[in-house]
Amino acid sequence: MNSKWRPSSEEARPETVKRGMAAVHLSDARPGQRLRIKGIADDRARDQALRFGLAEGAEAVCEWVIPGGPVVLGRDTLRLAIGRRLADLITVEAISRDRRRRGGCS
Amino acid sequence: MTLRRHHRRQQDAVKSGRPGRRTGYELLPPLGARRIVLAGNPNTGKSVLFNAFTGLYVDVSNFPGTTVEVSSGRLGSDVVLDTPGIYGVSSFNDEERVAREVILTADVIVNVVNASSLERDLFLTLQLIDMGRPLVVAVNMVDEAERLGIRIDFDRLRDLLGVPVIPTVATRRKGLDQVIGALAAARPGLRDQFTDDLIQQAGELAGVRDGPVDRAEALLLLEDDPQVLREYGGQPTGKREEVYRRRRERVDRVAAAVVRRVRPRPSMGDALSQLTLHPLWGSLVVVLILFGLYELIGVLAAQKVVGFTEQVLMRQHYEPWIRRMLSPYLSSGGVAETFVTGEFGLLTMTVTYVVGLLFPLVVAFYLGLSILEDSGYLPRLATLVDRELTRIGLNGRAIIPLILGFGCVTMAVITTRLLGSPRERTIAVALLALTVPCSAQIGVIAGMAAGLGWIAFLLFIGAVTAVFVAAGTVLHRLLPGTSSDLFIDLPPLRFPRIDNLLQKTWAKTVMFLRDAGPLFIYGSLVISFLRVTGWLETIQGSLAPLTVGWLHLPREAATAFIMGIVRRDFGAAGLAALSLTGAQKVTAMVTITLFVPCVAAVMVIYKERGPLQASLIWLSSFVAAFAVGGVVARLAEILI
Repeated sequence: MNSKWRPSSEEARPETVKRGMAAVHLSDARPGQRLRIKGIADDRARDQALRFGLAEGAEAVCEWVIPGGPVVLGRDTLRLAIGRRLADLITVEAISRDRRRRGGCS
Repeated sequence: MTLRRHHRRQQDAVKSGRPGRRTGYELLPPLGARRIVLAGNPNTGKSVLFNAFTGLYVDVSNFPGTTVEVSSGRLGSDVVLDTPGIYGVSSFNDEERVAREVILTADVIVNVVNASSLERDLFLTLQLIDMGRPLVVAVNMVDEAERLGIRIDFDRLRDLLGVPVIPTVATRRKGLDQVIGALAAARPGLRDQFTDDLIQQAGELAGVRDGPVDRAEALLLLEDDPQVLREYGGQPTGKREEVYRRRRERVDRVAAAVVRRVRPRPSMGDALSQLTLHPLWGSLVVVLILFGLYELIGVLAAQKVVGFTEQVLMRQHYEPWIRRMLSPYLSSGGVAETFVTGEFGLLTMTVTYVVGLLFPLVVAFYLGLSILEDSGYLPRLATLVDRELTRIGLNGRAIIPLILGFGCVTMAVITTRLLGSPRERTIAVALLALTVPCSAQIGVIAGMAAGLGWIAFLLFIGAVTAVFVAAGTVLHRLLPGTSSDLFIDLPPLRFPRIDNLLQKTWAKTVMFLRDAGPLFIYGSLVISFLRVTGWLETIQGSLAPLTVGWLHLPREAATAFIMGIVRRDFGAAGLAALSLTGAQKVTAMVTITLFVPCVAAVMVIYKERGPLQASLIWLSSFVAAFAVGGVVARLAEILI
């Protein structure tokens, strides 16, 4: 679906990522993972993220993933739902490998 | 002229002793009164504060040129204005544009923040402080924060912001008197030095010769607010991200200094919250909620209440009474009688429809909607259905207008403005016009479907769903451009407050009837005109081949479709009145559901999407309804 929009994270994703240490696309995050936001490759989303409290460099927890759908990120009491295509444009770094299984997994 | 310009001109007039001309701007207070503006993020309890301040006499009106509502009321001799919930002042969407206009005319701003989410809410607070307007900060819902294990150092927060900070629990009226008392002490807070320096150069950076004298406008110019840039004829400064980043850093510093967590928060709130996002359980929740809404709007309001108000109260008592009262003055069968008390008359059909049919439906509809809004469920639903809606070029947020469409397509078309791009608005409006039956229509269709069996029901649902998916997919492929992505805040789920629900429902109902009333009057005039000139019968005759030959419906069905052009439920009612076989009933249900939207909806589509799109949507509804109806007619004859 929508293959023309997606930078196709499945193919572009470097090998290291699968081991869960270096920069990953947010769309690949798993519920329970602690993440640091590395970059948001969309101007408007970046501004909105600053308002919400998710500056580049901020830490957040991947709280929920709807399979093939949005990723829910939590930071303090904030909870943000991010559509899959936008999640593909956000690079994150996993800072813990805590994988409490909860709900859908990507 | 913007509200802001008008306000300034009026103030200048007061200063120079020449009162300005009255322009009928409802949102403007009397000369000399203080304008107290409530501003805050969504879900901070702003409206509760507003209601507590202003009491019963509240005026809700659409902000000129938008569908965003602004409430205004009185607090002593001052005027209090409520603004839509926003995360920052700019022009990201209609809500922000309206909030910006109202905030820029404020004498005092009461910034309501949610005690549990200072990290998010203080962004707006610091932006308001950078604007240099006198401010009072109400930290609301401190009880909820307490329960979540969050402790706030209010004195420290006051010192860091430089404005009065009052802890409140608005729902229990705690701290509200202190907020009112603090209004006198409202003052511009401690501005960020870096941003302040840039503000001095805002005009220069934007390439404007006569830069804004007002600090708030200068800040928005610096932050590349499109509207303010346009007003001053400036170029984007490219400073927004830098200013935002500075502000975010300051928010994080302030929050770190004043917020203490005595225990870690639960990672996903309560179990219910998780449940609503689960692919399986979440879908069950959706089904339950839709069922509840159907019971409220489709059964209780559309059948039971309307059955009494329209059929008994209006048709059996009111209409005969008004005809009797006016008969001495109107010659029987004359043109005047047709227009005033005829079958489609101004004082008969129009009044019956507005009072007997529309009023109960609209009340039920807004009540249901307010419950969904106030409970914080809608953003979760948007998240849950995002994946499916991205396949037809929408994102999860589009579920809100689509659901509203089941109440009233006209209202739903207006709310498509909350969608992120013109592309999405076109898709959503087309789907609404084509496939979504409104509550009045659902009531009639439900009556027809009764006793037809599940094959008929599945055929009906299947046909309409197929058109929905097909139309969405085709538009998604054909329309150029990109749709916007889902990026929303999920507020905690909570029980709505009854008094808030009732107040909201009432205010919106009054506003809707005020806007929709005139449309019914025009509709009634048009039909009476067609009838008097005999054109109604002519059109009916020319439609007969289609209805009889293709749809296999009786000849009289043509009349119902003519009525359906004015209002679809009207058409559905016409079809329901015919004696039809089971197969014919299914055909009729599908055809009238896909049929052209009512006149009111068409007018709104025309206004929102322009003449070209409106005509295309109207014509394609016509074609789709008859094409699919004919196919269903043949299928139904085999299956039923």
